[in-house]
Amino acid sequence: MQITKATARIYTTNSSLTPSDLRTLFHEWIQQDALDELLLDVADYTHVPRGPGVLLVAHECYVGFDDADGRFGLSWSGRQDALAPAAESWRHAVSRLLVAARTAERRFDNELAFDGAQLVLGCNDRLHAPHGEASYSALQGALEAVASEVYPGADCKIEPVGEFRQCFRARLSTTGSLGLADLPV
Amino acid sequence: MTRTWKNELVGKIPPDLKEEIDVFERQIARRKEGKLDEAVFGETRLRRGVYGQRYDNGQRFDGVQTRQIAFPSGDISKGASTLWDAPGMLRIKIPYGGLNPEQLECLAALSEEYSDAISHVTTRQDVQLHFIQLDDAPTLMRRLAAVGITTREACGNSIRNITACPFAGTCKTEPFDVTAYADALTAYLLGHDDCQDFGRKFKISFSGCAAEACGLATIHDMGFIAATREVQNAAGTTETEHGFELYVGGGLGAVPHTAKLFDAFIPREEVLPISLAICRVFGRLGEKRNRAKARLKFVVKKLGIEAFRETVRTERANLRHDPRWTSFLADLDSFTESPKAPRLISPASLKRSATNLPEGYKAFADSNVRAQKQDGFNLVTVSLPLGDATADQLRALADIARRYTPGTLRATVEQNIALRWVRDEDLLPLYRDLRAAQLAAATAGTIVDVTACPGTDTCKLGIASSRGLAGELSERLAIKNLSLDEAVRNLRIKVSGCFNSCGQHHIADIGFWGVSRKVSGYTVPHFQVVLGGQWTHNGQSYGLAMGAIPSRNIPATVDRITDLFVSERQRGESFQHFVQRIGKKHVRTALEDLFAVPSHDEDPNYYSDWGDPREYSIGDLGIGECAGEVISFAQFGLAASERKIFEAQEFLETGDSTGAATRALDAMMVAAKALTKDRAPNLSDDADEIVAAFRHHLYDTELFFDPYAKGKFANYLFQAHSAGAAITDVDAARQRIEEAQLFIEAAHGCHGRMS
Ligand code: SF4
Repeated sequence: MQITKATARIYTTNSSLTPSDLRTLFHEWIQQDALDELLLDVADYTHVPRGPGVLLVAHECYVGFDDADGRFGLSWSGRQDALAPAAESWRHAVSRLLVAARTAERRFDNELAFDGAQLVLGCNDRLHAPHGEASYSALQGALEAVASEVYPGADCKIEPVGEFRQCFRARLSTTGSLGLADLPV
Repeated sequence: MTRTWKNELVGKIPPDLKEEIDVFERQIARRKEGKLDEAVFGETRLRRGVYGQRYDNGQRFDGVQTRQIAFPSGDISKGASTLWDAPGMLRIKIPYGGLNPEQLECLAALSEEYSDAISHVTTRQDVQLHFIQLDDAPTLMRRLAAVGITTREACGNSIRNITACPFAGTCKTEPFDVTAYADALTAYLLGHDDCQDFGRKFKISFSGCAAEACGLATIHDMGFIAATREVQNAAGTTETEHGFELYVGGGLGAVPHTAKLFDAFIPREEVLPISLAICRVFGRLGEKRNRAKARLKFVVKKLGIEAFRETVRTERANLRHDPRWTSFLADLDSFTESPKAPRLISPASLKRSATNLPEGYKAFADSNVRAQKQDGFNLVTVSLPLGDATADQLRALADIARRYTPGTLRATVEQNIALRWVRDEDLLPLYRDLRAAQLAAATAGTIVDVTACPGTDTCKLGIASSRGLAGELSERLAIKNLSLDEAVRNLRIKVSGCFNSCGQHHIADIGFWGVSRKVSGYTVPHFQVVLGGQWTHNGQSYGLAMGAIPSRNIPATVDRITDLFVSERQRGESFQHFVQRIGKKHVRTALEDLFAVPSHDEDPNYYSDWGDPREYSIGDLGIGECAGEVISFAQFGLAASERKIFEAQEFLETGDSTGAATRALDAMMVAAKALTKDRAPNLSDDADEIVAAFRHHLYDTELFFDPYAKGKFANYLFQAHSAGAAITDVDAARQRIEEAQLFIEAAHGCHGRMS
């Protein structure tokens, strides 16, 4: 199955970072060309509860720290309407997300750590994959393929998350405590 | 076959909208192939609501250097200096702010799929989505069209969204509901042949009454205020006729103009034809080449209101009859919202709930709830911080509207959403639902609910961060909201990122607009402080600038002004009266220390803007090579010109229009001389000589030209110089002061660029 605008999200285990820290981080990334994406600007929505937080806007994606689903995390969300097989799209989204997460972790040292045992994959594409049972069944194979690469040999639970009026989202989780360094991707 | 929204929505889009969107899609393709002229495509795009955004010229200052953005599509443009791949903004017209739950859900979905998951309510009841890719625009338009929304003529030189009181039909002070008229005029003028040849935008508004602010009729090109009169019918009995007081030529912008009364009573049958006649006159006589003079206010000013009236009446008489002028009147009842039948609830149970109020409810009810004219029903305003709502919040609002109202909501000009027809007994459960959606802030209509334009966040013309400042002020004020003095709590703060006034700072009690100043070789963000504008009476009078204060000192400025108001206010005195009574000099003295900028070493924070850690810049930042502080002649001169402007305002306060106008002209002369002296060292104080030298060295060479306004501000000097001191009228003197203020701002900008 093909999708556009794939998303990947990872949660933090500890973060004492303020919106100001995050804005500074993203502006630094633009100055330093820290990511491979074409970085454009920073948008701050921290005044909106459960909103998109602090966003780095790139041509290809948004990279953002937010608590939109109730838990603080970092998201990579594709912006371009490029239809591609779901597994391939998510592989790309996860790898780009982890690059951003590792870069942020390095910058903040002990002030930021991520929970590698959980990822949320999705797509902002109601045309091809509206959230619901049908899309979940159709995309299960792709989710499993990505899960087996992120958590090789481990038991991984996959389940849809969020309400069905939202965009498609599914959580991949494994047991134990994993940091970014433990992920082979 | 690949699925597309175009195919999915076949049969679900009104045929005219479908055709229009298909045409736009073809134009996009033709432009990409280089077969459509850039300028033509640019204006077409704007008239479809697809607007540019900051950095879309492909360069951005990253805090250290200005860098080119290497978009994949390269140099292909979608308008002058606007690159194809650069994200833009989609402005979505919401006529009179009217929304239904399906439309909210559609906006929510689009914001998630094509934008940054935020829908932004504007000060003109539009909704904007940012970071849109142009190639996605036709799809967005189709999905909007499928729920009855168009983006057509949301931008460009066209009739913009027609706004109206969000409380229309329910408000105690209105003689009748204006909704149907706003709706009919929207439909009539949308895409009308006679409205396609304007030199600039054209804004229309409807208000239910003269005393409140909701419709802001007098700041529009055309502003209708509901009116009635008693007439004798054919049977000889008296009946009430509905019509409108009509104002023309209002507008904020760089130089605010209060609208002039066109007619004290336009019968309702004449609303559409008179509007068209005015549009035709504007299309014919409005300026086309000089954008700075192209609004209706300049036509009214040039002709004078009497001659303008006559011209419009002649035009009206020549219109060919159109049945649409009155056909909508047969449908007025379709706009009457019928609430769900009131639910019966026992007095005992009402009493029980009244003694068991959830936390925060009382404050919420005080600020966000007002009784409708219909007994037992309420209007509930949902505060959106800076006009922003998430997709989840919009869906929650859609659910709430279905649950508690007949499914009608309105976007407000204060960037909020109004729920209508909420039963008394539903207020508590509604409050709980709003709280669950994080939408229950008890701030509607208070000082905490700061209005702001997009400013430097996304607007190409932004000079300072209006949203950054507004967010900072809201956060600080929210902490002490409930402990604020009642008189302060009800003040309005409005912030614009530049002189264009999209944040409506002129009509705020406390307004700010972004400017910059050069300090020791650095550019420092500042805000001009504008005090004492009038929000009520449809935004009828404007505040005057007090001077530019460094952006970082604005929160302290608000504290200082509000403290002064609390301590020196007379019983029952409004903020406007207070400012007038104590005088601007007194206020300015109270703020004096806040004008200072510490050195970069002392406090580098002053050299960046709110919410943006980059070293502040309005372009390429140049740092002087001086070892110590060197103040140039030009800087002294510019400071002196600001002093003179202040004195001009004082003259105006005492009713001395001639003195005010003379001093304002002086201020411009001082600034012009300060800038020119470098190039004409022997320049004397003779006004003719200064103007000639300024024209020769700075105007003809275009050195003085603002990147966007071009030579507009220089013309204020030339015009004032020709007109001289022959001004006795208060409005004209006020206008001269406003223009002088802008000229001086432009002089600062020019100085910044040249130094
Ligand atoms: S006031 Fe200026 S900065 Fe604000 S939106 Fe208007 S043009 Fe842009």
